[in-house]
Amino acid sequence: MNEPFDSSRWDPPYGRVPVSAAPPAFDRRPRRRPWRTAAAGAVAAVSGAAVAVAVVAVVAPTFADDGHDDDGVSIESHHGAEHDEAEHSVTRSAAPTPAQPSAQPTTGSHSS
Amino acid sequence: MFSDARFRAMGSDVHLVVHGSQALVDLAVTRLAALEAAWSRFRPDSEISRLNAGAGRWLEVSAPTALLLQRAVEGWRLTGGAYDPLLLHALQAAGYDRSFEALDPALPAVPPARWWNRPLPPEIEVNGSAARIPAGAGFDPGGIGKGLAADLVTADLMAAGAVGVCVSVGGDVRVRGTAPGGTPWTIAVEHPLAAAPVTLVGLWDGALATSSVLRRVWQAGGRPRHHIIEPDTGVPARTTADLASVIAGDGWLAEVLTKPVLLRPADRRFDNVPSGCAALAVVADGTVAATASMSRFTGGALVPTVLRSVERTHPGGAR
Repeated sequence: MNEPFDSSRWDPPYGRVPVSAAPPAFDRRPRRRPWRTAAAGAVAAVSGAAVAVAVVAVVAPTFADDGHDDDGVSIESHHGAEHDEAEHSVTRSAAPTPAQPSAQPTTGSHSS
Repeated sequence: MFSDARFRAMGSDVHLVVHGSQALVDLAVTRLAALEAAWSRFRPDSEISRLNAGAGRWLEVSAPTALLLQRAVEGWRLTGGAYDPLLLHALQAAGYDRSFEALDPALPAVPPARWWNRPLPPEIEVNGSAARIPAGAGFDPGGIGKGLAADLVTADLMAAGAVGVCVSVGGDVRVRGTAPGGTPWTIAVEHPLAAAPVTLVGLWDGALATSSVLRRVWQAGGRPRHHIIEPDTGVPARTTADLASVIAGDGWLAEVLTKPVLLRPADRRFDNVPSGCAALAVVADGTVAATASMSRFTGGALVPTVLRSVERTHPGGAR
């Protein structure tokens, strides 16, 4: 009953997610970590504007990082094997088998 | 022969159609009850409640719970973060802190969740029968639990001798085998404000999940709230659609894929839907958008571009 899975249908524009990669961006704005912001502010207050400029220069790349690099490392280092298996299972189960619907529905899908 | 049953489980309406004996219905009821006992976040003795209470520590879990956690991380990855299983504290902060039936219809205002500092789903770890969610996090089995439950129950029933099974758990429908009469299964995509189905979908094997911000709505601080949380803000989302339906191979996958359809901008709402799958979205004014692949499941019939009954009756500020 099932069609053989055609891997060519599991490709862009959706795109296969590399096992070791962070998830694709989804409108994730830079994640400002509040404690880092507070730390930068405290240093600036104590050391003056010149130091503040230096701190911003150091911290800014962290803010520009949307957090996914860290997460990507986490996936790779802690979940590599798991995701190898997992991605295979997703690929295997991704394609439903279509059919001609009848006039009378068996059941309804009406939101969870 | 076939058996048909409707009952409540996992805080939702369940509709079960089995091409097989009545004993298979009893098996499904038992299996769903066991999954609910393991996954309910409203039962302090459930595995998920223990994981949440012991966040940061390794705990023994059953195989279905380990699978649930793995699928949740996969769902997060596949949706680019639009589906996020660690939004429990945000959901609770929005007022959804007990079973929906027990919610006070007019809750006081609640502070927003501290979303910015929460761990992200890759930090969920599963090692054999041990699992750990990150310290400070709360796992919400929510929709994915219903979808995966439908997957597991239908697999169990087929293994037990069913010729075909269709189970709907709160809108997450999974079908396998043949319907009574040897035909494929037909599922109606329903909109809460429309008298007629949006469309009819035919499936031999697969799943159809529907999520909406028009169901599970409550008031907090005089403001309407719903259960779809925006991962980046931790508050009920301002969605770009009122209802999303996705057809995929499995129920858990169809369920998580509804989240980017609801949350993404209109011109990118289907970006996460694999080309072998299909999706549709209904926006507040009743207009309907669908992937081109949807026609494969409708027998070639076009999905309507507007639901006129929704246009007439939609309350507008229902969110």
